[in-house]
Amino acid sequence: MDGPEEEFSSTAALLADDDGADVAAVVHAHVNVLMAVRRRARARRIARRRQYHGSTAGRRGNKRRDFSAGVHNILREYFGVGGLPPIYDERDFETRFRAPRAVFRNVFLAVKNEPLFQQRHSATGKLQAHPLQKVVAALRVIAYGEAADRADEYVRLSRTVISQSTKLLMEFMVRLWGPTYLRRSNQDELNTIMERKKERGMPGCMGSLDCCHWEWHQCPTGMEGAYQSRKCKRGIFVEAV
Amino acid sequence: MWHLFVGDPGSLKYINVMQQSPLYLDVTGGRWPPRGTPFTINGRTRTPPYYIVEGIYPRYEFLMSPHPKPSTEEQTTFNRLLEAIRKDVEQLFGVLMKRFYVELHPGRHHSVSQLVRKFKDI
Repeated sequence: MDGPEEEFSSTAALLADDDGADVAAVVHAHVNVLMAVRRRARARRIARRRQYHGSTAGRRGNKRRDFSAGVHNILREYFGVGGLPPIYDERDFETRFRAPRAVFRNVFLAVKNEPLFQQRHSATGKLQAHPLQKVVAALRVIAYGEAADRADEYVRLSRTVISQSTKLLMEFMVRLWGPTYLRRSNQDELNTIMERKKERGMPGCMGSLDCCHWEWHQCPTGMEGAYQSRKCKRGIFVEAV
Repeated sequence: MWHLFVGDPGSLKYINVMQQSPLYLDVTGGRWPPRGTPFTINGRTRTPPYYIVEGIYPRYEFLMSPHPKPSTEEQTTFNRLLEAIRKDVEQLFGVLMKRFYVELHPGRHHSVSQLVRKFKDI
């Protein structure tokens, strides 16, 4: 009976003459130790976490997409293969890609050696997709506004690759040609504009200013209040001259 | 297309958008339009050229809006000419949408909007 009683009394004594600062210090030290342990464990977990390397064990296998068939399709239909003329003519070309052949060629040549677009080998030495496929798929998405996996059967690329290449292609274009085409007019162009407007009865006019809405499908709920227009739709403004 | 400003939240009004746009800031800051572009109306020479806008915009020196309630022959004619020129910017968005159907569909991300428009100019 001695032991517990003594223990009890010692605890009581400790409680009796504890002062807040001591306890706080102990608790603080303990919390610090706990946090350090957790931090170390988290760092170790992150270090152990594997980067995504594409095809790995335990994941769904790659589909046997015939990349060369995709390139062959595109070449046969729009550029001609083996001395044969292409199946579709210039008009179809422009409908499909919303750009004449010369523009398409410029885009393709510019983008051909970008990191995502260039042709690579897989780990097994197989040739991967051709840049032409990626450019065509990206332009399809932009021109027709279709889902990324819509062109899968035709260009033979997965939807991940198509959506990635769409994004990168647009970024690349803005980076490369944005400063050339999206800019203020210079003095000569301004003079031409004003001359033309003068002929139409409005001397001194530089153009007209207008806004329009572009609906935003993926608007986060938290931002709905700010982005809701008077027509009760989430969207952003586009102002143009 | 000489000016493009994308990305303002949809809850704003035209006037808020205009007051945030780089074009407006440049005009009020004196960086645009370039000096020395005079034009002559009715024998009088004025310096700053203007943009044609809708009726709801404020009456600034560089904005020209139509008469809200045209009553005289002169005002009607003026409005008709103004609308005839404003037509092209109204059609601009239609043309963009026709060319790249991505715009018909609700956008996925902020920055994409600017990227899409880029296409028109290539």
